[in-house]
Amino acid sequence: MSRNFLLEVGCEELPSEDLPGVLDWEREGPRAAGGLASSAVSVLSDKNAVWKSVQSFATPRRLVLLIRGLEEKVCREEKGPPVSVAYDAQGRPTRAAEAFARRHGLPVSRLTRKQTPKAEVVVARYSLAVTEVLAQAVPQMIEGMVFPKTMRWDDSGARFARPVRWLLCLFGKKVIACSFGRVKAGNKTCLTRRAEDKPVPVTSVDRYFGLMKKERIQLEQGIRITPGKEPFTHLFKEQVPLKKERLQKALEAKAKALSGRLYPAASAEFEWLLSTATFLAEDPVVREGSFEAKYLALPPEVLAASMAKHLKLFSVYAADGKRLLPKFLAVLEGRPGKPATVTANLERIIEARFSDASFFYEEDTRQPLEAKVEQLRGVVFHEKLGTVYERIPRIEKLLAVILEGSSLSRGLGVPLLARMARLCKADLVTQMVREFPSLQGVVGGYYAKQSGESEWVSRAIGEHYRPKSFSDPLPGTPLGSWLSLADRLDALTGYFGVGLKPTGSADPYALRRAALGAVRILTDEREAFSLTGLSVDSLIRAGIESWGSRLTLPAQVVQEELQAFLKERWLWLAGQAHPGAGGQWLDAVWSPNPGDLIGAWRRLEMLLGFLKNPKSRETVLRAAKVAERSGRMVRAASGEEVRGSVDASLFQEPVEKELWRQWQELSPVLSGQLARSEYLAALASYGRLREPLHAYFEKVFVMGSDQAQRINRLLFLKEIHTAMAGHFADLSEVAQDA
Amino acid sequence: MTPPPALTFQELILRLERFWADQGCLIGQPYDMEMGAGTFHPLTFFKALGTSPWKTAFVQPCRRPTDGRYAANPLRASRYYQYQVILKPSPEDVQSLYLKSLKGLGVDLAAHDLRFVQDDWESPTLGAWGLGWEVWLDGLEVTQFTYFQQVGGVDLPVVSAEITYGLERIAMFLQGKLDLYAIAWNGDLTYGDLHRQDEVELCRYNFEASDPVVLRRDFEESFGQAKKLLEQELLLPAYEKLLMASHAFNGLDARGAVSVNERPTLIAGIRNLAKRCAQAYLKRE
Repeated sequence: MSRNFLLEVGCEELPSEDLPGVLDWEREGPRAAGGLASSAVSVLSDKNAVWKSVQSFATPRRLVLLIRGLEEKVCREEKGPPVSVAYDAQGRPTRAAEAFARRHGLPVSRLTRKQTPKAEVVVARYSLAVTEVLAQAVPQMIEGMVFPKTMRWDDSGARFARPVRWLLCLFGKKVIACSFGRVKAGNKTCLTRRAEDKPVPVTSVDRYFGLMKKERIQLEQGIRITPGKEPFTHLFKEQVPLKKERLQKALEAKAKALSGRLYPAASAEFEWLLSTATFLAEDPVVREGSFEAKYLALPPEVLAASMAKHLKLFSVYAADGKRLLPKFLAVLEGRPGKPATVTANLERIIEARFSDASFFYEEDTRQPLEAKVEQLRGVVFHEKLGTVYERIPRIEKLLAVILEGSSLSRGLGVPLLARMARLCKADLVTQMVREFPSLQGVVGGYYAKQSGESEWVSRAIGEHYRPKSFSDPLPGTPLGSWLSLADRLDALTGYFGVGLKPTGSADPYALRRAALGAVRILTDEREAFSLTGLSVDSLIRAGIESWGSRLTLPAQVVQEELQAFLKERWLWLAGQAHPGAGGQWLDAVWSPNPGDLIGAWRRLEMLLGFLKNPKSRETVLRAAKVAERSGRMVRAASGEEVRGSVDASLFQEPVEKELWRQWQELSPVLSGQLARSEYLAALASYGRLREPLHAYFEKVFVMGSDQAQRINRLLFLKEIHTAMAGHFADLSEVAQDA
Repeated sequence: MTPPPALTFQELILRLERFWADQGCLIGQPYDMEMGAGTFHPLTFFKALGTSPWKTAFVQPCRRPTDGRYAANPLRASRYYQYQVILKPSPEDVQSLYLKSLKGLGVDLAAHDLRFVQDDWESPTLGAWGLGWEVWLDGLEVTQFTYFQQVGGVDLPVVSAEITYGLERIAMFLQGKLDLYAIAWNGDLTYGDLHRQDEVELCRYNFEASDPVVLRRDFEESFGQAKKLLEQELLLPAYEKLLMASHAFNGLDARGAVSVNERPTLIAGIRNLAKRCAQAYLKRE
């Protein structure tokens, strides 16, 4: 028999930023697998319990765990002493066997035997009531959750993100007797704060969700784990943030009704605000309000940040996505009795906040942005890496390297680059950025323009922190992208150079994000940003050189580590961009040049394009066969010195001579096609070797005992293999899986 | 039926005094020195240390020079009043008690939007931190609510709950005023009548007229004195010098006279004093 199990951990308001982790939404970092469902699964499997599915739910005041189909009995098996110790020569149980049986509450006659790799041992098999197991397991499930910060609130020694005030814990209709800290589990829950804070009984697991619905307590749902699947491989496909999506739809509808829209593009800021609003209310309700149009003279980003940071309000953009409307959307808790008064109160606070922002704007713009640059001497970038001021010449140098690799004309002007580098960090010492750190760059862009800097420079400064996340938009101008790239490469080479690269889940300087942004800029819009000729290797090298003696690790090490790091991000990004593509295709395109992120991306897109059409797919697979057979041999001989050039006079077998003849014809054609980037034609040419190569391996034993013969044959195969692997992709590993 | 008239500023304070006195709090008095928050009051800082139970409530005027806006901002000022409550150990129903106190002031919780918004509170100068919330009433932060975890760099064996009411903001809310200077202090006078001119002058002093050289000297002298007094085991005088150093630091900060590099060093200096004061207090207890 199985039943459903429910646990509700009633808390004082939990931080909104903790809840995605609680619901196991986090993919990376210290809190991946730190949620309630994954903690429960790990405890349950430890205890051998049998269940159908585990799912978590949450609001700011309650964390809920639902285990469906939990079996009433839990089977246990404990291994005891070896049979040789447990029974004497006559086969009678010894005292060791008796003691072991007693410890597990069994008569000696119930002990069985089991063969282990070491010896045959006695075994106690018994079953426990799951209710008994749960009494122990529940506190462990709660303790197993991971929060960024925990606290104490009484002398019980319990730690949690905020105080735990009640536990509702039911197996079917039965209360599980357990406790966490000083709180004992019962069959009662508390409703919203607006309702009288009187505990309400819940008679069964199934009634609970009905009660929540009736009280309009919207639970956000976490992942659902089913047994047999590793939770983290399938987790995110099933992740459906229902409540968050519902809220987004409600906000979008309201914005539309105001003839506006919610955001200009999917930005990191919007994502943060939506998540915060979702997790800040048990029953989120959207209301609109407005502010005085005179404040629209302030930059829209400042108004939006001020409303978002201080009041968690959503801005409403005009249809063009650039200007703001003098409106806002508030997400309130439940349905306050006087909603009009609530929005009127919000409007007063907005006025005060905007008047503060105006104060900062006026103070900051009394002097041109240039006047702030000197103050950067006092701003520490990192104690091992000097000041922000010292970054200026390095960023300038990196910009010059990028310019070299770009297809834009040199006439664009080196002075422009120098100006960008000099001013891009100056806003760090403004009052506005001190108040709104998330506006760094954006504020600099406005102040640069106000100070009379050119449109190009101002825009580049304004967008050089983008992209801030995987989904955040890229800079909109080439110069903005270049500046972003130079900024990131300077930081990455610096941190890596003094041994501060991310380890495991710890990434305190957000270098993964910085690197991912660099990779996105390099790959996503390489043509638009004229970056097609840029070598990332040379960029890294220039970055390392410009740090000079400050770096403590050898340049070679930094170069290799950073290259590998960027490749890792590249692979992740490629996996996201092409979800269906197998990893073997992603790996294949790296062979021509392991530092060429841009080329690899271009080749990957082409290759995946070929695979879509059945005919060109066949061409790829034919070529892959050639690569596979030649590649296997080359790898098999990896211990041997294979140098020099092919000596055709050493060939003996007719098939060998025939293959060589065909190759002599094909090779120049292939080179020409590859040089012109006609990859599909090149693959077709290459594939023509499949039959001759097949015939070759039927007759020729490459790894023969004659060394000169062997090396000559290997040289030939290597030449064939490299012809494709060295220019387009190493297809030798793709065939099996394709 | 007409609703009862909203509370005046002074009536608001009297209600809170009554409410928390009824909860068994000792009603303390403001400390007679400049400080940035009620947390600096010895009835908070020292009493949160150690294991003895403690309940207190009092008004504390606060000085935050950088928050000054020449009386032109409806919500911020360089000098204002906090109402501070310390409950040690923190009772299980502390949130409900707080909500009850708001109802007692005439806040209709069902009509409005009240939210506990996470706040990881930290005072780097006092070596103190705790977790809790900003309490928002229709988006206005009216209270800071904290479970102290550490004070003076010491892990607290008994957790105190600190409730800090922003008196002006609650009064604005209750009276429906758009500007803190428009708050009715009593039946006749407004908050502005008492404090507007003061605020303008304090801002002019803090931002324009104060002498950074003098402030720096004040900082260094107070700092040096505090260390000497600690050696002589004169605890409260040493702590008062810490308060003076902290205030001088805030004055320097308002003048933009603390470089970004120097800031962490100066703050760490004060924190170190706070730690030594805390340790000296615990030794006595």
